[in-house]
Amino acid sequence: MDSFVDNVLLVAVCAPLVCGLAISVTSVAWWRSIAVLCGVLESVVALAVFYTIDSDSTPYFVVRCEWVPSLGISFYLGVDGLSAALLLAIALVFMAALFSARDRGECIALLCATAGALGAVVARDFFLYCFFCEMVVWPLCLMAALRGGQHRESAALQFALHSLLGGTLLLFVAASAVYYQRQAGLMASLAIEQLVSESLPLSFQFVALVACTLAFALRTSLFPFHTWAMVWHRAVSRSASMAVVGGLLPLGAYGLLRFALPLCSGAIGTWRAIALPLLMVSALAATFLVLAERHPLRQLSLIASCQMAWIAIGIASLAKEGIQGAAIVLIGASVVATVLSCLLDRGEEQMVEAMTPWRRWGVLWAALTLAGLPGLGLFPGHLQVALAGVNQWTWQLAPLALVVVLCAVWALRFFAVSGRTNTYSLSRNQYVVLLPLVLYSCVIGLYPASIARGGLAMARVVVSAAVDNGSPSIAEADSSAQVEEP
Amino acid sequence: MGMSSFYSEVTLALVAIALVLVDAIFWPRRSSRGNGYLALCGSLIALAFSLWEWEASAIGYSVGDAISQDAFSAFFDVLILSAEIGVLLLCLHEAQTRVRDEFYILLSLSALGMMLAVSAVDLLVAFLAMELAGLPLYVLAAREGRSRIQGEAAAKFLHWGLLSSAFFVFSAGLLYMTTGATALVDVAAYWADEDANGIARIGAALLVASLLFKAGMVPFHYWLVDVREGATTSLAAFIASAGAASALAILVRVLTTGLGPLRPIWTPSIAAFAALAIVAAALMALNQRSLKRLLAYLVVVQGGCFLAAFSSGRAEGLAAALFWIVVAALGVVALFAVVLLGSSPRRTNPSLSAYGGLGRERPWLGLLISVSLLSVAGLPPTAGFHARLYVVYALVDAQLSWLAILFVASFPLTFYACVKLWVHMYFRPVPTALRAEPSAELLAVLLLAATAALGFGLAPEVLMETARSAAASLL
Repeated sequence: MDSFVDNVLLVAVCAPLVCGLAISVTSVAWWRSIAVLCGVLESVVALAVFYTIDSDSTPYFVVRCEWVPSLGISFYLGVDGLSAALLLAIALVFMAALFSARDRGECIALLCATAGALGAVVARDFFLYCFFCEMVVWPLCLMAALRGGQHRESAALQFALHSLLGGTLLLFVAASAVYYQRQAGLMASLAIEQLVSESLPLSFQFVALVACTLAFALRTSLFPFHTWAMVWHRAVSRSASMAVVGGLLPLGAYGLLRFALPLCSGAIGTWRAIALPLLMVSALAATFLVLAERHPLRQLSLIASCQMAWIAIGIASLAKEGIQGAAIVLIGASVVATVLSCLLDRGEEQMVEAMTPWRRWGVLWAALTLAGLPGLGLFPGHLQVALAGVNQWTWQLAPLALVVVLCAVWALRFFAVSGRTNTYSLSRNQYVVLLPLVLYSCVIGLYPASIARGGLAMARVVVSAAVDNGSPSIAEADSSAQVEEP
Repeated sequence: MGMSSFYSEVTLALVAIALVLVDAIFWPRRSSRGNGYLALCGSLIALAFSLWEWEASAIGYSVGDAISQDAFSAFFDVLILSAEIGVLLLCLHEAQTRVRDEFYILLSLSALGMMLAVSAVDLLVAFLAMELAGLPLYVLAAREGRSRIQGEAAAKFLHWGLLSSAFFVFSAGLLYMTTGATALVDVAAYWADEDANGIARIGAALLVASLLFKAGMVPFHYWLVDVREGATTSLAAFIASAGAASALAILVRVLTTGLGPLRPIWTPSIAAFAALAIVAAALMALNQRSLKRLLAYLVVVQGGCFLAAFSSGRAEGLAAALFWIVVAALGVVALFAVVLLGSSPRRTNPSLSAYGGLGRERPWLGLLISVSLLSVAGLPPTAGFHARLYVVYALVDAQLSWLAILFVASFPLTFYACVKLWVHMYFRPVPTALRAEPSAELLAVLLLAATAALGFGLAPEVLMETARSAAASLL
């Protein structure tokens, strides 16, 4: 039993692969039950992990062994306050997606993607994170191939190319980090603790941070790299859309927060001055585009892009509140966007006259949550991000306020339009499986401290690393930020 | 050391002789498949000897310092024999529709020539070994060619081979004229001891050019691409895997051993050739509709990546290049097996549309092909991903940042070229024309390649340590 508990993360990552293999080699008729059971068990394990650990930056359930020692790469898994919350969100998202999977091939691909996504969340080695992230991409492309609409080929290609480009940039950063570690006479290691404690040349840190930001923008469909997501959500099946909006996009943002910032903590001050205005423009542009867009699924992709911009702004503010807020938005957006993706039409099911009242209210709830309405899941996150840079960047409140107002307009219009159109039926199971996601979102809205503690621990790590590495502007921000634990 | 260093080469020579005898004894009622299995068994024994030589460290100088049985040559011996075994399996699949009598004899002789060529440390021996490797292939290309495009390929292959050999001989003559030696060690001593004159430098440049010609690097690739497209699939697979690998190995040996003191001159030149090959061939691959031609360009890209890692001039870079060439050879043989899958007696050069719906029609086959494609494209969880990382690190480590950026930027291009087949397999409709049924041999090739790609992807250091030992014997 003890060995199971010790290796619970390894089991959680490998179990979907084993289930996928079992489904593919056997011709059992109850393949869907196996997949769904796997999804449910993953969620239960994630929930147990979430409640077991303390919300700090200490890793729990550590599994570590050397993998490529010559480049300092280790197979290093572990979970802390931030990753435990995201682990639960990702497990719930993929469980819901598995319920929506409609054939055996799609189920197998989704199980492989689940393994990759869970692995990326619990990876504590930069290279391992890149490895698992890319493992998510190819099964999703396969899902587009197996059950996609008219433009599935274009959607899969655009998605794969954007992801590959992002992944290659991260790989370049990882290789360069090892090189500079050796140049500095340090032991080569891409483990997260090593990245935080070591100070590499500032020029490298700046270039690496720019590359990581570009990779983040490509993978999370940030404006102006949002086009692939607009094609993707319209062309692919419900489960593939849910997996991307709730699983893959948050992984990109998580990577920026988890690995890029600690690695490049010395260059954050310079990077922030450039990135923050660009991210504001990105958020505003996504909001204007979502208002101009008519197709609900394309609107979903744009509003998800807008949430990713919120996360990046929170990270770029480099205040503790900002990073806490980013963590809340990261997890909340993952959960709520999945619910909205599940509720929107795909043209796969039998047509019904109009949306049922439950579904209509579900759409309204999800849209208002994404807009950041007070009392709902994302409000604490948006609020903290908006207030984060007030001490230094007062002007940022104006564009962010505009984004909030425009998002609220979008939510109400979205609700009104979606209620008028004919729609397609959802099964009872699909409704039931959304309940844990809705509950999780409500918990975030009503008791954000559960998530924010993990974010605070991460913020402490990043800010203290930045201060240690001599970013004067960060040091000022650190001293001026009067942060209380939530 | 003595003969124990040459067991694998001797075995291969004995196999060729046995095949000739079997062919003569059973003429005219000879069994093509029987000959194939005999050649396969012989190659497996030779491979076992090569692995034993590696394990027993039965390496050292032999044959009057003309041939060096070091870790580097042992590494390539294993690679060439593995590729030959894969090609023999492909050939056995092809033999179901096309009877070929001398194929196995000539293939064994060519493999023997390649193994000797990668061990040669004397320009004359290298030339003889390369001719032993090349001549059987020219014969095969002409012998097996039945259509106009195959005839053209055979003629171009012969001209290409003669031209590259002529360059090699001419450059070796110029070097002999100025240095008074053909042994690479003595040539190296000339550069170190005296002020080299212009003719010697021209000889060295021509020698490098002739070997780049042999390896089919840009801008010397034009005819070789046509050859790889026009030749029969098994032959094309052998030229693209073992042929390209052996030519690159000779180039590495000549540069490190014979032209070592000129490293400051040749390093940027090789880096430039690598950059040219990576970008130009990847761009040209994008527009191809024939799978064989697409693969031919991908082989040029892979060669460019090998040269890029090698141009770092360090042992770690050469080890990354060796890791890369193994992964590339595995992928190339597997993808030529895919070519056979879309071929029929009347259609030996299938277009990509011949694979429409294959992944949905035969999911397991689709999975095996996808793994090999992922490896060639450099994606996880395959060995290609680690190969990509090792090469990027080698380039960054050698402060060749511009080449590292170019290498990284070329990946979407290579990926797009690879993904074209995947798109047809999963997104396009099933064609009306019937596809070939995969034989056990074909499935074995795909399965072995996929297993190796995944195995080295999950445990890359096993192969990398071997590559490091091989690289350490040269640098």
